[in-house]
Amino acid sequence: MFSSEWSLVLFTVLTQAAVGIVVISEFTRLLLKNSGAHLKWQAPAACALTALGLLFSLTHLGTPLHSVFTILNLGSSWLSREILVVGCFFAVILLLVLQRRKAPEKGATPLAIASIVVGLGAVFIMTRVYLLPTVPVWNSIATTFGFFGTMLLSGSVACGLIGSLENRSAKNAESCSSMAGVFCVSALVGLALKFIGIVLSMIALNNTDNYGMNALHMVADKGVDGLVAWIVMVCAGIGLFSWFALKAMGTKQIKLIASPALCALALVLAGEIIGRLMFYGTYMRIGI
Amino acid sequence: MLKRPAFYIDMEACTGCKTCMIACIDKHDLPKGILWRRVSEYTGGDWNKDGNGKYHQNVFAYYLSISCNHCENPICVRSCPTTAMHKGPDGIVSVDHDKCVGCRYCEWGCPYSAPQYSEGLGKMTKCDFCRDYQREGKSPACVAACPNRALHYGEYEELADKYGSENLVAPLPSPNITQPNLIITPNRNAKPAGSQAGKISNPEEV
Repeated sequence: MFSSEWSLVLFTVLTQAAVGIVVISEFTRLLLKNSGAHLKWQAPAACALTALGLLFSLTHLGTPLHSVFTILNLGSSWLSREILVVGCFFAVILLLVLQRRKAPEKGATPLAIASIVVGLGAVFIMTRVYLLPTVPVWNSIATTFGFFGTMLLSGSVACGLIGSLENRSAKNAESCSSMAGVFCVSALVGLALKFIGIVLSMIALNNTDNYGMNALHMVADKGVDGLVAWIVMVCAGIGLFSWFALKAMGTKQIKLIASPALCALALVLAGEIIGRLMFYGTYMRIGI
Repeated sequence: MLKRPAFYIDMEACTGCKTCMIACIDKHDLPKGILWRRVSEYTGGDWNKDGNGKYHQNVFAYYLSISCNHCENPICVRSCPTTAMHKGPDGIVSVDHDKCVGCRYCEWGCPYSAPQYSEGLGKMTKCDFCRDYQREGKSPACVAACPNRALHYGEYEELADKYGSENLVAPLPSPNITQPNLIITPNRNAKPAGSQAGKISNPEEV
């Protein structure tokens, strides 16, 4: 029921979290231009997470030294495209971080927009890798909802944590309040996507019948504890985060989010890892 | 060499003896856990009560000896990120070990379990249609070993002219996904594709 594909679980969750951090923080930056709110450490954090994710992905390979060949089949392999686009995402955010170090206020906007576009493209292509016609459990729109849900859930909470720490003594409370609002809305949209994804994945699980087994029966038999833990952890994390984000918006004190966001991030990441272990664990292919 | 090599299985003649599996292991010196050809036993049936209160059984069993079908549109080749998995001019799908990264993505997708991972090599391995034997004018090891002559190989068009082009019985997947170079004469008890009447009863063996 629970996969042992830890390298793939960590690669996908960390990379999607990194994309979420970049998409949400850069969007907030563009929205709150020159407002005084600091969003300085999100991109470097995303850069580090992507690098970590890529390192984990290497541990999945039987012959990592051949990984240089993995972008040779861009014409037909979604895996090849995924490797290229995640590499590009890492390169773009690295350039963004370096550009901001060189000149904090100048010339970063095109790179910021590029990082949002490449990041969203990366998550889309990551979903396509799993839409295999021979694996009906994964070959569903539920995979897309699930991956984009992970991106928004973990990205928003991580942005909230970093944002609250770097804006503890910020003078512009109004823009920090708007920032908390964007993070809160992103988290709730992510939760909605996650729930739609879970419902749709139940339908996809029921569509499988191989070796006389049904994937939904497998979940009902051995995966209820994991499913409940996943849902409870994500809901508790997002509930906690949203509650304090709303409170911070009301009182205009973003520092209120820091500790709850840390707890929320731990809960969301743990829940998402359990969910992803179940995703890989329910792999069931048609055929012989 | 053939241009579009295909396997033909006469399910009526196959007794499930698994000599083809053993011959393949022997020829290629395959390590434990790797089976390029597998003989699956598909079984099912139950007791049914008729109107007079009598019980009748409808138990069935048949065998499917399946290896790589060197498909016309192989999902393993389409999905391989490195192009290590490729279809040669001789129609044989094989792995280039100088490129294979061992990501196992081909294994996820192939509905015939053809690409198999070697822990020792850190790379994928699969049936190469005994290319070396074919070059010497000999039959593939599995075909040569079959005591019942249930397994044949040849040019797809010639086999199709002789035996028809049927290749879909349970639990085989739809041929539309990969267009396998496989032709079968179904067993008299064969269930239609997608049937849930039976199950593979020897999963630990294949």
